[in-house]
Amino acid sequence: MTPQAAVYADGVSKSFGRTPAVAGFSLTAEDGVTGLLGPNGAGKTTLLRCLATVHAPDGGTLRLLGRDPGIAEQRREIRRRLGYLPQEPGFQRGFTAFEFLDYIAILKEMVDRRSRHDEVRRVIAEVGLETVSGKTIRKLSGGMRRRLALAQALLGSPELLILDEPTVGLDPEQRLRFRELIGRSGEGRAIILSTHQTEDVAALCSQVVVISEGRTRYAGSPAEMVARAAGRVWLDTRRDPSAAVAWRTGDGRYRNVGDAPAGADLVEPSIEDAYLLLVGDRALSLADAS
Amino acid sequence: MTTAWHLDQDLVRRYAAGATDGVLAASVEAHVVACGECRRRLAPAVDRGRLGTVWAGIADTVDTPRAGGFERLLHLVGIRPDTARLLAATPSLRASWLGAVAAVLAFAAFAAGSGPHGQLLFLTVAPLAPVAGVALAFGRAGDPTYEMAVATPYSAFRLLMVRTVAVLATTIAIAVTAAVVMAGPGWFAVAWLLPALALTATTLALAERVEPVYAAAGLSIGWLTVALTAWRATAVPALFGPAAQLAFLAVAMLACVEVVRRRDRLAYLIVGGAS
Repeated sequence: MTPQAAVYADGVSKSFGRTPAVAGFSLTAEDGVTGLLGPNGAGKTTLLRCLATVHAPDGGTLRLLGRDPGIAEQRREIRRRLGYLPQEPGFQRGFTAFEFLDYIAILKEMVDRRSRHDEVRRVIAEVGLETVSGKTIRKLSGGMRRRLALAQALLGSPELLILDEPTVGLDPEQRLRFRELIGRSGEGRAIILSTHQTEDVAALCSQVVVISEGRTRYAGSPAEMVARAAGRVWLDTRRDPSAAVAWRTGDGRYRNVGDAPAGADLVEPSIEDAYLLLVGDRALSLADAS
Repeated sequence: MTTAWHLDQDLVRRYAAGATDGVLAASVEAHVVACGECRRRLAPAVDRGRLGTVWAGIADTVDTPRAGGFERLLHLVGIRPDTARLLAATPSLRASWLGAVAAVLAFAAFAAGSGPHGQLLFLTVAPLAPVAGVALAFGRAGDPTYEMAVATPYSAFRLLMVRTVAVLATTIAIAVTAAVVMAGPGWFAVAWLLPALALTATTLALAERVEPVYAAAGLSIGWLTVALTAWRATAVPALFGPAAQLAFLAVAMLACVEVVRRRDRLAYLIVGGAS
């Protein structure tokens, strides 16, 4: 828990006009993958933009790679060691995949042409786009564009990777490849990613942070998050009124999540159950309950 | 194949060091392809590091896609390949945009031949071309890679300046060409320049707070309103007279000072006027 960590945020807040998007967010992340879970509008994108140095927080303390992003020279130092995948990455569609990555590599201060091209080829291979590197971006499929966007974040082997919903638009096979890629590259660097896919968190992350309405609802390991939901998930033939969230499963029974009544048919919770307990319809707070 | 000629030690050394001219090197290469003895003699003399560099150069040349037509044009006029690529990523430097600007200004220049009102139409429209071009060169609405670019160490202020200069150079060149073919008093051909610079610089000064396209749109509407009012008031509006020109110059200079003074703000995403 030191400002020297890859990411150190203490009470970070960011508002737009009178609307607070992030309110008092705290996080310490070292090497490894940290997953950010939260409903739409929870403030994940604003928060990740702060961590990617493209937004300046209004309040709190933020240190990235031991440096202060509020100071121009230190911000530049951070950006030299940072990879960022925005939620809605855009492209110059007339560029080829290679030209686009070369363009971003120039912005990342890779001055030597030959070694820059080598690096572009390396990240193209990393995301498996070798066969289309000479094609214009407008001819690439949606999944290929997502991989291309991820490739630009990997340029220069950054020590800190900020990925805003990197698995959106990927089919199951591509998601698996992405997990392999992140699993491979997670060592020796810190990766912060946001996602709607609770399975991504279970598969990839050593730390999970759940945010809702700009505030942290949970921070810890995925296993501990699941453990906290133990005894609070049960199956029933009906939607139990005491459940915070309930839905009909494939076998016709209802999966109820919340404070279980006595004698309930308890089942093993999943990370999704744990997540729903935190931010579900009634937003039961485990933090308050425990 | 047998041959009387073989590489002597001096030629081996010079070839291995890359010190032979093209013709001699070609002769050596043609010979060593056929002569095993000279290949054996040459192989240990070649520095492995140099060989690696040469090979990497060949691989890069073969493997790197050829730059697009616009970039090659920029290379021809002496712009460095890195800068050319940054400019090629600018929407308002694409052929389609420049073609649209040329078409609008050609129409305005054509209208200028019809009399004083036509000339005023040209003077009013011409300053809007560089403003729109600069607004589309930077920011979320104009640059699809804007958010990724902001997160890189490359100075956003420098990127903005590089693109602004390129957009101004091209659109002003088009407008001057249109103005030259336009009938009318000589000063009319350049009277739009200072309004153009004042509007462009003000757009950039506001760009640190408001999305450039919104700033440009607001300023353009304001400019058209002022121009229309001036048209109604007098036949030869004071809007392009000496006093007004001095005022445009002052506005342009003040706005430039403001842009430079607040350049650090460009290091973050512009959020004003956009979500």
